[in-house]
Amino acid sequence: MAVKPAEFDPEEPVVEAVREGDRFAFAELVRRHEHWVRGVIFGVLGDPDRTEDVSQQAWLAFWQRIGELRDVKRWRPWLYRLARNAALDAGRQTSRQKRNSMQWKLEAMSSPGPESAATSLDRSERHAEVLNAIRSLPALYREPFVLRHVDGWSYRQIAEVMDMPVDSVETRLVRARRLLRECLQEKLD
Amino acid sequence: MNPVDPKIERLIVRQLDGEITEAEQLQLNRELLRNPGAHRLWEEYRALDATAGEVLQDLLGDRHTSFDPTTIPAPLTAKRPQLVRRHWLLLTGAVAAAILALAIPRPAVTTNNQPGSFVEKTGTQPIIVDNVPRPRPVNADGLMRNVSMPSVQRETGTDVFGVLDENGNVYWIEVERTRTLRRPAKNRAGRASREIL
Repeated sequence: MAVKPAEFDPEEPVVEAVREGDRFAFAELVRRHEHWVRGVIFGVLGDPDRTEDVSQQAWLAFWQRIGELRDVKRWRPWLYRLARNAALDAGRQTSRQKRNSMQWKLEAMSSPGPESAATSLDRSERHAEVLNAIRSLPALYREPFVLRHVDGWSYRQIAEVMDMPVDSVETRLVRARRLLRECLQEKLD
Repeated sequence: MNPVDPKIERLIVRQLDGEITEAEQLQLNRELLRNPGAHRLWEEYRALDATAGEVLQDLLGDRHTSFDPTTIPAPLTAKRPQLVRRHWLLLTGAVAAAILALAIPRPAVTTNNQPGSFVEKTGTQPIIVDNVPRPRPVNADGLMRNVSMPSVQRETGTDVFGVLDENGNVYWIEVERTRTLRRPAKNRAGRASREIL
């Protein structure tokens, strides 16, 4: 059984204002929730390069289709579905023109910061490995894992937007970690 | 291979995610003390979580969207289009009802144009409307004799319909009505008629 939304959501008045066409309320909503929306898109695509573009598409769809939102209490799952669908559409396009977008990220990560060069390199390498491992996860496990880590969502919040039981979220998070650990151990071996 | 009991692995994950209960925490603590494999798994997951959190925050958390939501154009579709359509439907229905009310003949209707009241049918007995001039009684007992009645009488009045919409608004529709009554020939001949005023 899917989780019901919490009794009171402080964002509901903001969403109501967006529904009335208030652009500034919309800007505020974007500012507060763009992180997890990008997390959803990255969770589906596993491609950090396209996250920003697809995120904009998702928010645009939110603005243009807000009139279709019947129950304001369910705005989060609704936005989740918009973001997810935008990511899936982008994924279909990307699969046609496969490209490797990791190079920039690896280069950016290996640039030395204020720490010592050796430490920074270790840290960057480690980050790159973990990012690759996250990207290699099936989307099924990657989505809740990203939502958990980007905005620190509880199992209940993840279950609500993904419209699934809390137990399923927990199971997916356990499997995500198990797969990540196995993936990283293989690289070390 | 993962030698750690899946139940303990689940407890470790619950603890890292902040979802563990007190009882579960005690159980996990006991297991971590006596099972080196569980302890090693806990440390690995903890390090993995910390790094994953940093990576994902770097990647997704610290950026802000490059577009300005306040400049995007308004949606092309009107908001709540169904509600608007319902209003039109309601008004159209009200007009149709008014036309029907004019077209269908009614036996007799009292006049009542006060908002909040509804049209009242009174059966088939003809009723003389107040604003039609009537002959005065000749005798004190209220009986009229040999009064010359007009051969054609007209009733005029207003029917008021109240239509309630879904928001609780009441639309009042007034229908002007005129009815012509012809007296039977025997009455027209000047016979006494009895009327209670």
